[in-house]
Amino acid sequence: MASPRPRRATPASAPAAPKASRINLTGSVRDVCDYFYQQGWTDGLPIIPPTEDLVLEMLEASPLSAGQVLGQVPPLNGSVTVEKTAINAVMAGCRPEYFPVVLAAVKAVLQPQFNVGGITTTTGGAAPVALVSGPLAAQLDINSGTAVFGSGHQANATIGRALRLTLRNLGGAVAATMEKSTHGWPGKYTMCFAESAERCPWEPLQVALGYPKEATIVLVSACRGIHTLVESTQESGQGVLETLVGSMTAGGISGYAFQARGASPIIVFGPEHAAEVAAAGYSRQDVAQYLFERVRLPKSQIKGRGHYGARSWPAEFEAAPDDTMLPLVADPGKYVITVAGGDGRHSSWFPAWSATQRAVEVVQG
Amino acid sequence: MITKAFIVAAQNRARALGLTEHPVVVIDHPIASKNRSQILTLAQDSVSEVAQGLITALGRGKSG
Repeated sequence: MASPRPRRATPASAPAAPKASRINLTGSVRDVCDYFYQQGWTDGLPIIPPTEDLVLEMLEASPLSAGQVLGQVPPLNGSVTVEKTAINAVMAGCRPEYFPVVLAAVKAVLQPQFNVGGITTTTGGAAPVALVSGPLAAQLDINSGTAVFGSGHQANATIGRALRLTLRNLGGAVAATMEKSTHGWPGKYTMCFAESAERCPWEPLQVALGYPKEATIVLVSACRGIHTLVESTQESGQGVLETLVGSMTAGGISGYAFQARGASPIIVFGPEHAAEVAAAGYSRQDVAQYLFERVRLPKSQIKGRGHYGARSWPAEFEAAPDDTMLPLVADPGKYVITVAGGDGRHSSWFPAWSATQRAVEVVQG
Repeated sequence: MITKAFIVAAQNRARALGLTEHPVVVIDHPIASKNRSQILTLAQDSVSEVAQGLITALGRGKSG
């Protein structure tokens, strides 16, 4: 196989708004992909080579100028410019019209409370789950229906991947160095989906969070995986909620000892379950309250297990009797309740990582 | 202070912050399972090494 040979690399020239380096490669697309992989610039999957014309095409869809600095991304504190984000979006396979969503997702993970450096360096295997809600989701064909978590949906796959490649290439989320997940999960490749506007029985998520109905938001929460549950015997929303609670009250869930950090699990009702829960009289807020009151474990079951040794919880929990039922989250508002998926008797929830809080950005047109 | 599992990460982080000679005290991995008393023992066992690192770094700062 012919090795691609870099012929010329131009260093960054403008410190205030660092311009991405240019490099000339010869060889086939496979050679270029191999070169990128050998440099540690990919997630192991093939990339679209970020040629200047493709990056320019991406930038033409940007609401922000190429040189604008969005921030620094820990742990290696790489400077995140719009141009560098566009390069990663091209590599991920994004269509240019997705780019405003990518930018919103990147800006969201850079919000300090998200602790993006921590999700890279923890052994806990956290990855951002990007949830899109608003009119742009349908316009961009971000899947909210059948097989919502994969695969075969270009917008979902590539928007989430662009976010991950940005964290990798600008923040240093690389397993050989800063990435310390014991396991990780496929969300480390990509995890982006949309709320189902058609089948959500409640007001849209962006409205529930205080944004206009016309706005499209990206909500990110750092999560440790996905837990899918079946409830195909019960036909009431009450039964669905009870089964959900059962799936969230197991051992080894780190949030039970970390309520003080304010993490947000994401609950994703399949549309059939959502319709039944709504028909049983539950609003989105009622569901959050219901979960807050019942997704609890006795303190005796938390003590001495899981993350108890490194616990970070409210002071009153420390002195509480052992039979006190302790909640998974700090308050009902921490739960993100949404609806997505196809037909079927299934729902899912994403357990949040411990030391993070969710972040939201509005997609700029 | 870091555990053995994070040596490479700590070196890279220090380099990113421009602190290539930042002293690092390495202890056994893991610590998440240790109770308060065990953590205190680990800290006490490392005090002299931490102090030495700080003195060394301080001296480097003065001479530099």
